[in-house]
Amino acid sequence: MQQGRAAPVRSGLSPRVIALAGVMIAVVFVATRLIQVPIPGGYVHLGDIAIYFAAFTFGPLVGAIAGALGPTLADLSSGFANYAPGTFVIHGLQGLVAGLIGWRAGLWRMALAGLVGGVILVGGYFIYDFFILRVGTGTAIADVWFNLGQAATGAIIAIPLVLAVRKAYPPIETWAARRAWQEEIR
Amino acid sequence: MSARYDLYAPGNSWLHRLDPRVKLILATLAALLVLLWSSLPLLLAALALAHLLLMLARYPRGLVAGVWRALAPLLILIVVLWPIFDRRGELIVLALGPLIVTGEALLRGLATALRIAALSFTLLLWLGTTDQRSLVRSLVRLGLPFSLGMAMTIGLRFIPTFANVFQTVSEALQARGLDLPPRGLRRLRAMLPILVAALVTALRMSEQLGWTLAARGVGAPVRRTTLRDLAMRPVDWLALAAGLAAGFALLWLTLVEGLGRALR
Amino acid sequence: MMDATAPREPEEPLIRFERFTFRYPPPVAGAAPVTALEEITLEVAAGEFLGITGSTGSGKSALCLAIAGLIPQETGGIIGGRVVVAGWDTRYTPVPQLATRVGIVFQDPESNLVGLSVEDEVAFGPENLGIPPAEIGRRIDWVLAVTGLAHERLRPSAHLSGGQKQRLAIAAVLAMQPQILVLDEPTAQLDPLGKQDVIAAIERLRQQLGRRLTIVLVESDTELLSRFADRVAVLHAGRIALEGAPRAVFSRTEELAALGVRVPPLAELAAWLNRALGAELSFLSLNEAEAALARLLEQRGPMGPNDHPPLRESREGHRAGRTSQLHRASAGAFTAVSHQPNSLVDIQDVRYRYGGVYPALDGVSLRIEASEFLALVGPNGSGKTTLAKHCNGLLRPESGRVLVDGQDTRITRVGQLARTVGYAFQNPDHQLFLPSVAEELAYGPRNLGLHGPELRARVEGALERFGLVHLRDRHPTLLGRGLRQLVAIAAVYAMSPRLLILDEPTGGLDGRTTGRLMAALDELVVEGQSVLLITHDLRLVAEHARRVVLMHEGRILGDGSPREILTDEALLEQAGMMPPTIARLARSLARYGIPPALTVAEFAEALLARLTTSAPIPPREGEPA
Repeated sequence: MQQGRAAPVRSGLSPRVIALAGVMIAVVFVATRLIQVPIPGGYVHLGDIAIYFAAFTFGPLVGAIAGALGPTLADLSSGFANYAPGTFVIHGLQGLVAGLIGWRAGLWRMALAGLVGGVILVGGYFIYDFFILRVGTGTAIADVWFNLGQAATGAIIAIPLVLAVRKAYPPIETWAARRAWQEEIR
Repeated sequence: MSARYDLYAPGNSWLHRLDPRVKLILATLAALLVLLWSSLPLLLAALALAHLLLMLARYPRGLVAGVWRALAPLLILIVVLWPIFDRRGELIVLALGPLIVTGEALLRGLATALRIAALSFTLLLWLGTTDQRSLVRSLVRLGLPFSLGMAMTIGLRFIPTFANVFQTVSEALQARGLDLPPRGLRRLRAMLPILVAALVTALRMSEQLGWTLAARGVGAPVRRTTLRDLAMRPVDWLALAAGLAAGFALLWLTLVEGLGRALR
Repeated sequence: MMDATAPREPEEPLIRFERFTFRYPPPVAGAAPVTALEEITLEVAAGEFLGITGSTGSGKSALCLAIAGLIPQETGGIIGGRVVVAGWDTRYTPVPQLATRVGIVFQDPESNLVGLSVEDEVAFGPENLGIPPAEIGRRIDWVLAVTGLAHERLRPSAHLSGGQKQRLAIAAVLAMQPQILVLDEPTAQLDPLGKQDVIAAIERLRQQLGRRLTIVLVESDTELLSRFADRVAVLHAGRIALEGAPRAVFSRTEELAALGVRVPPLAELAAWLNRALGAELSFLSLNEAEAALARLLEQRGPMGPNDHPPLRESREGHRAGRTSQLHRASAGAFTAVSHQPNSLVDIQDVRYRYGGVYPALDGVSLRIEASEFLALVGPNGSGKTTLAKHCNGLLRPESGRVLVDGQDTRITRVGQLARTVGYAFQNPDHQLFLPSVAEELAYGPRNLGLHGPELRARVEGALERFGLVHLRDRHPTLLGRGLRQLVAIAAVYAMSPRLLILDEPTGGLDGRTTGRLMAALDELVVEGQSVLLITHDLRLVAEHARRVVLMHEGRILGDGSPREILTDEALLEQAGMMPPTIARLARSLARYGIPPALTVAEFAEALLARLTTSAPIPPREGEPA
């Protein structure tokens, strides 16, 4: 048996993870900016679903990168640059924590991750609205309402989505793992 | 067909040519100031200044209007909701049962909305005149790890690609009888098959992309070079020095002397 | 980096596979590893141009990945034997180091590019290798010139066409100055023009670098390989099944067909004539074929006035087809019998602009009846897909109207129209999302309200028709590209639409799978369903379609039988296209009395008739099948 990798110490992430993180940034961006669904009392976007998907499937690292950069780029590109710093921290944290709790996990741990992620999302934006942007009590509360919708739909849809993708495309379960090779025994 | 995914407008103005790091640093400083201010005239002035600079940089009016349109719901919400929770001030403009709206509260709401708008447009000075590539490069030069910068570049490059994938998958499944209800949780649930197929497609792409990165020498144990590295020209240094001086002076005035902290 | 610096013997081959075996890691936990390459022994000399072909799943891509060291370093899995590239063992030489010797370009243009602009893309590799900026600048100038992208230097790569993207990928790899260029089906996803561009770039490379660059080109288009390669290897089930000079390999047409490889039409023609005449003809290019056959015909002496073989269609009819969109000559027999009050699809003077701005359809009228096999051809951007999407309501006309079985698409839901019109998209991955083939096939019919025995019957019928019965419980997403394509098409077929639209279905398919698909489509048409095939492959059109609609710039340029459209060089040229190889050959030999021909069979018969004295040419039944 030979040792798998002969590469020297690599700086930073492996090309596979860089590519994965990059594609997930794009996925989260598109889900946030371009896929919006009307619900009673407003609309939701699919950004949180995509972040949870990244975190549950690929773990805290990819979850945090895609969570931090995807929605931040979406804010920067749509005139909501004022929210970008908050978004970077809040969604990054959401992806990180959801990945720590729900990576390759079963239904209940994913649900817990969704709950904790929801608290980060709703609480985080309230703090950002109220103390940093100082938009006023009314608007901060209105934003809580919007983010509750986001958090709830995010978790409710992301969990069946993750389960469906695992069923449809099994290699995804080990996607971000290190690839080691072996010599065949002849 | 050609949706816009960023606010950058190509151009060759002094603002476009300014080093992106200088723009980022100064825009951040300015944003910080605006965040600290509550003064209606000062915020109005900041907003006007941002628009003046955008105009001088020949930034398209259509895009400016687009940002206003995007912000409008939030701004209106702030102006409308502010007075409900703020009853300071003598002058009562409106009294409807328990709802009392004072003149001062109205002005405070307006000032808050202006702060949000000023913040967005201050940052637009940086975003609107910096292309994506300079943006990523400046972040890397300011300390973002290179591999994250690369992930960001790939993300930016794949936005139109993935948007297309999603659109096509959605059409392909509708052609197979997928019925998308117009709204609500039912629509979200009905979108699951679309998301599954689109995500698997994106993953396949990411695998090949990872191979491409490795085969282009990512991770080579040598010091990376850069074809067109950012280089500070004297005028960039000058702008940075002047901007920082003005910014910190204002910051000092704001924090110590209370400039702009009050409504008027 | 064990033997990374081992000196290389001058005579040593640049690439050497030594009994190399590779098995991918199991896709599902607990399953067996998937064998991709089995005991491959192969040497490639410096400066050689090696062509690789084989059916889908034969291991072509794995071979490419192994040369670049991506197998096993990035894929994992199990290997046996070894691959030595430029003296470096690919197991222990890191991929970035191998990248200084090997450049690799993949099939999918999107995942070949990582930069935001053309210049960034090209600079990326050399930057990673630490090349000084001034030198990078010089390299960029050269590689952009040789790939024909010099004018696009500062453009965002997202705005490039598919062909430009692939040329950019080649340029980006060349900028690292490799000794070996590995191209894994670089033109498979391109339209003919994009393909021509890429081929021209490879030709320029060959001219400028000659033997200083070793090229390994994987292609399912064997016509292309026969033009370029010094040597061709045909893979089958992970092993090398045939190997040798193109002329030798492509003359073994029967073996090639058995291996699932598309045989180049000229090689097929040569084999056909050799069988009939006992000759030893062999030609790889059109010029060669023309010269050889002209010699053959001249030996028969000059043509007498009565020698002229009867043309099947008068020149007058032929001309009319071009200008007045002559309607229905070939499929007329069928439509007349099953004439219905409503056309299956009736497109009336439709105009459409994307986003209300970019014109895509500019006054198109078209009727599709039952039992038609209609091919929609034209360059990219001519409006083919836009027109097809109007047939099932995915797009709705801005002006004019579309009636599907009498229902106006503007007021009918896509889900409702899906009962009549099925649409299989180009990329199968855009459709597959369920964990088994059977479930995937049941999805569409279930949406139409079918269940119980009726639903099962639909699924079984589709599985059988496309030869997928043994794959019933497999994961569609884990099948090879060709099979995924068949599953996606079968899933649409299972809805039993009266019109089945297929958008470029054969792009990723090998000869055998293409044959299987086309046979199934031919059966459908005989049974009364209609097929609308969007394709760039004029050879397929010539052999299967009964009606061809040629589009250009959002209008219908021609509408008639394959013979009328595909032999009309002037008409095709208006759309920037060329007749299929055999038609061009027939035309160039017209002075010897060879009539216009579209298929190898037809041409061979005509030629043989012409050669074997002045005996009357036997009448042919119907259109070529």
